[in-house]
Amino acid sequence: MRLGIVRGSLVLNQAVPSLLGTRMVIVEPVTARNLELNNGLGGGKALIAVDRLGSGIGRMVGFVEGRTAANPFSPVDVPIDAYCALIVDQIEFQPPRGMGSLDRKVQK
Amino acid sequence: MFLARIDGTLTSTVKHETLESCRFLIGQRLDADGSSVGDPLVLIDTLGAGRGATVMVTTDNETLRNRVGKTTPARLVVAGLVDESVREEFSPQVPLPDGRGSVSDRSRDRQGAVPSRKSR
Repeated sequence: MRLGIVRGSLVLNQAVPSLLGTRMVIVEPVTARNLELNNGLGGGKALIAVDRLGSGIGRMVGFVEGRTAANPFSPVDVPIDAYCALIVDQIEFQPPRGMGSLDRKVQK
Repeated sequence: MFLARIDGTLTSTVKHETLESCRFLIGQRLDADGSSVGDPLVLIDTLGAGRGATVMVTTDNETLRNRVGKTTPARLVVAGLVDESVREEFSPQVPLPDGRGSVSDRSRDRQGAVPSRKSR
């Protein structure tokens, strides 16, 4: 599960039947650098995730990627690969001194 | 499976129903040289890993499915706490056995500057 910031939502009027009525959000993944700076920015490549939690725009969420993202729909097979599993209340992130992404000049 | 360092914690009230009883940690995946790589990850911990600990993370959610239910989407679970991990020192210039250039060439590949196929 990675962390992302909800930047928008999506409505599909025409879609494969199993996806109709499913709320989807545009999520911008948060990089280590931005999480450490706590600057409210994401920085990753935006993606679409299914959201059943009602995540508001601007909220930080944890989203799961891969085949297991479709598990909540089991036993119905749905063609999704990202799912918002939690809305973040509070986050505390501090890499050890000298080991954070801010300490490196070149970002990996 | 991969190694990660625990760098933080996370609390959440609104979450998927199967994750109600889970403890969440923020971890960063570790590269071969021990430096962190990639985006921060939300890990599910049942072993009580502390801050700064090195843990082994599995991406298979079978254990989690058995514990919290078949419909859980999460899959990054702390599978073990690392007591000691030994890394051999290596020379970055040693050619790899498959003749595809040195280790340092490969680390450049990963950063996006892929040499053309012809040059290999």
